[in-house]
Amino acid sequence: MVSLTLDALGAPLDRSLLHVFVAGPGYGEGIAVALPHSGWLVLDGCRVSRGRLPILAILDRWRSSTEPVEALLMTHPHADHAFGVRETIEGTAPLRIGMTTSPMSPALAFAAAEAELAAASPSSLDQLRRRTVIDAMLALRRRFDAAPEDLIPLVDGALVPLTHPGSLPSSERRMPRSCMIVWWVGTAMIPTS
Amino acid sequence: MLDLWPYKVGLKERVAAIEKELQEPASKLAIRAAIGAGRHTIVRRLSASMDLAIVEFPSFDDLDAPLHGLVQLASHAGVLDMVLDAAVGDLLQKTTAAAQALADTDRALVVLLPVPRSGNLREADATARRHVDQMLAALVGVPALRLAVLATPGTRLRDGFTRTIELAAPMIGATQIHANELPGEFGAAARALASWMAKADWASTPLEARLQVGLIALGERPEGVALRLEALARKLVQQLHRWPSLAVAVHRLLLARRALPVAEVAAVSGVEPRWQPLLTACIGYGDDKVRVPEVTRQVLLDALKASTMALEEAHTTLAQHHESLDGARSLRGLGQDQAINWLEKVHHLALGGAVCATRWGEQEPAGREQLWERARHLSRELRQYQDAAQLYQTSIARFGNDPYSSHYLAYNLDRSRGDLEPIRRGYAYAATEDPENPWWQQRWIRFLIAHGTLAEARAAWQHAIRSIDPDGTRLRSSPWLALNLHDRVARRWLAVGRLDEAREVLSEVPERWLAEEAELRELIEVLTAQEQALALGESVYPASTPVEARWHHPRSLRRVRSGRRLVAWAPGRVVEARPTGVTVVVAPTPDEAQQLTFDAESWRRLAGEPAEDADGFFELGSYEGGEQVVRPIPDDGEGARLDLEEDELLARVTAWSP
Repeated sequence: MVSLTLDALGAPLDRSLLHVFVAGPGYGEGIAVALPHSGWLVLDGCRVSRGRLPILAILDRWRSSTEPVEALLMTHPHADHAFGVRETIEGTAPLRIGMTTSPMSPALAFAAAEAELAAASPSSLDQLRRRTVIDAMLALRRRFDAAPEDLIPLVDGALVPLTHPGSLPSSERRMPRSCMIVWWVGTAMIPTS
Repeated sequence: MLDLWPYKVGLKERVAAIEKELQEPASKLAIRAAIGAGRHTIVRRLSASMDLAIVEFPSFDDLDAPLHGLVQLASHAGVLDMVLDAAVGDLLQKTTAAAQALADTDRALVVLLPVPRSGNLREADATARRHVDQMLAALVGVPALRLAVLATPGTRLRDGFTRTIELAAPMIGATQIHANELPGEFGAAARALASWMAKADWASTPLEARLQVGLIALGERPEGVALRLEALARKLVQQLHRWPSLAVAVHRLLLARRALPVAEVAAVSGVEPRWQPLLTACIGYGDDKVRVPEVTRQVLLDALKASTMALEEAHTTLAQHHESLDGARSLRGLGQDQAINWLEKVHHLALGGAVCATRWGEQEPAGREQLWERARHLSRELRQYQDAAQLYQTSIARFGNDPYSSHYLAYNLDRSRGDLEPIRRGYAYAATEDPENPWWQQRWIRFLIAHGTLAEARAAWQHAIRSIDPDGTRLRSSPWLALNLHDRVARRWLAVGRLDEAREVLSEVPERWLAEEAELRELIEVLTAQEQALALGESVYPASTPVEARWHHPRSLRRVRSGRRLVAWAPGRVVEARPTGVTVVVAPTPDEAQQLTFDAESWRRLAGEPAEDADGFFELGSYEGGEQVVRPIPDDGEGARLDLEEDELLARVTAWSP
C-alpha cells in the first residue's frame, strides 16, 4: 500500500491498482474508489463551503471518459454525507445506486431519514443540514424512479455488479465481475471478486 | 334615496353624442367612464333608441368571463350553436365569426368591460383578463362592426379605436339625498349624512353616498366617512367585523354576478329584514334588481370570509334561481336570456358544493372555461386535487390541450403527489406555450429544482427571465415580479439547501424591494442566517434570532454586573452535556468558532445549572475582574422558516414506496 499526496499522483492512474481517494473536512468524508481494471465507486459526498465538490474534482482529474461510475453508495442520510450526492448523480450518471436499506423494503431508508429530519431543528445550520438531506434524497429517488432495478440495498453481502470499460484490455484475466459489500458496524468494506 | 335628476338631464346629451358616433359606419368607440358614471344607465338608454347588441362580461375573477362574452355575442348574432362547434376554431376565431355575423345584420355592439383590479395582474384574474383583451382585439379587427367599449379609465385598451369619449362620475350634495325613502336607522343615517355634507360642503358620487349611508347606519360618524369609494368599501369591511351574520349575508349577496331581483335578495343572502336596505340601497342599488358596483364587490369579496358551507348554500340558491329561467342542460337552441341564465346556473352549480355536483355534471360544457371554474373551486376551496386534476384532463380530452389546463393539471397532480412524469409534461408545456406567465414559469422552475436536474433548473430560470423581463424593466418598476417569481424560486432553492442559487436569484432584485417587502425581507433573513452558519461551520444563535441582532449586542447578558462592566462576550451553543462536563462551541465573531469543554463544577458556576441540564444556545460573557457568566439566548419563536416548502418536498421523499 502506498500513500501519496494528490499533487504527486499523476494522471492517468495505473488502473491495474486499486486507488482510494478520501476527501472531506475531517468528518463526513466522501470516498472515490478506482477499481482495478474497472470503473469507479463513490461513497457519499462531503461538505465544502465553496468551490468544486472534492469528489467531482477527483473524478474530473483521474477518471477517463470511458470509465463508468459503477455505483454511488450513500451510507446514511446525514447532511455531511448527503452533500454533493445530487451533483454526483447528475454529473457522473452512476450505473447503480446503493443505500442503507432493507432489500425487502427500500423505503425504510426514507422512513429512517424522515425520523431524522422531522426532529425539531432550532438552528440555521440544522435547517440547512436537513434541507441538504432532502435534496440528496430527492435525487436518489429520481434515479431510482428512472430504473428501479439499479438500486442496491446496502446490506451485508450485497453485490455491486461491475461493467468493464472498453478501453481496458479484454485479455485481463483477473478482471473482477463484482464487488461485495461487507457491512459491519457502520463500515463498508469492498472486496472485489 | 338619491335624486339624480340633474345628472340624468346631462346624460341625455352625452347618450345622444355616443349614439351619433355609433351610427357612423365602422366606428370603434372607446368610452372611458369613471366608476359611478352610470355605465349601465348609458347602455340602457342607448338600447332604447337604437338597435344594439350588448355584451357584459362578468368579473375578470371569473374564469368563464371570456366564454360568457362569446355566448352573449353569438346569441345576439343568432349563431349561438357555433359556440359549441369545434370546427369553427378557438375562442378568438369564434369571436371574430360571431362579430362578423353581427356586423352583417348591421347591428352595433356595446361591450361593458369589467373593472380591473388596481395594480398588477394576479394569478386569479390574469387568464380571463388576457383572453378578454384578445377578444376585444378580435372585435376591433372586424372592419364593418360598429363597436363601443365601455371601460373604466384605468383599463388598458389596445389601439384601433376611432374615438375616445371620457365620462366623469356625477357628484351630489346634501340636497340630493332623500332620507325619507329609507326605513329606520338607514333613514336616520341618510339625514345625518345630508346634514354633515351641507355643513362640510362635501360632495360624493352616488355610489359613495350609498356606502356612506350604510356605514353611518352601522355606527360610523358622518365625518368618519369622508372617503372615496374604495376606502369606503374597506371601511365597510371593518364595520362588518362587528356584525358577523350580516357579513355573511353581504358575502352571499356578492356571489350574484348580475343584477339580482330584489325579491331574491333575502333568499340568496339570508339577511335579516332590518338590514336588507344595507344590501339593496347602500352596498347595492337598483329599483327592481339589485346590482353591486364592481369596486365595492372586489374589495368586499377579497376581505370577507364566510364559511364554505354558507357560500355553497348561496351558490345553490342562485343556481336554482337561474335554473328556473333557463330549463336546459345545454346551450343548444337557447334564446339570449336563457343562454345567460344557463351560463349563470352552470357557474353557480360549479361552486355550489356537493349538493350541486350531480347537476353540474349533467350540463353539456360550452367551453373549457366551465370545467376550469369547477376544477379551480375543487382545488382552491376544497383541496380535492385529484378531482381537480381529473377535470383538467377532461378539458384537454374534450377541448384540446392549452397552457392553462396543462399547467393546472400538473399543479393538481403535484399537490396530490401524483407521478412526476405527467407533472413534468404539464408544467413544461405551459411554460413553453406561455413563457411570459410568471406563475407558470416559477412552478416549472420549482419543479425542476426539486425533481429535475440542476442544469435544467438553471436553464429554465434563465429562459424565464429572458421571456418575462429581459431588460429588468418590470423588476425595477415594482416589487410585483420579485414577489411572484424571484421570491418563489429562491424559496425553493433554499428548501433544498442551496444557498448560492438562492442568493443569485435574489441578487437580481433591487435592494429597495428587499428592504420594503416583508416576504422578501424574511427570505433574506433566512438566507443570511444560513450563510453565516455555513461559513462559521456552526450555529450559535437560534434560527429565530434576527440577523441584525446577531453579534451586534448581547441579547441576554447585562452590560454591567455588580458594578463591573462587560468586557467581552460571544454567542454559543451546547454541543454535548454530560454529568461530568459540558462541551460547547462559541463564536466571538461571525467568522471564528471554537470548541470549549467545561467540567461540571465550572459549568455550574458559569450557568447556575447542573452540567447534564445544559442545552441550547447561550451567551458567554466576561466582566471586569475576570468573572464569566453563561446566560441562555431567548428564542423569539418560530422565526423565519420555510416549513411548507420543506414539508412538501419531504412528503415526496417519504412517499417513496417502490
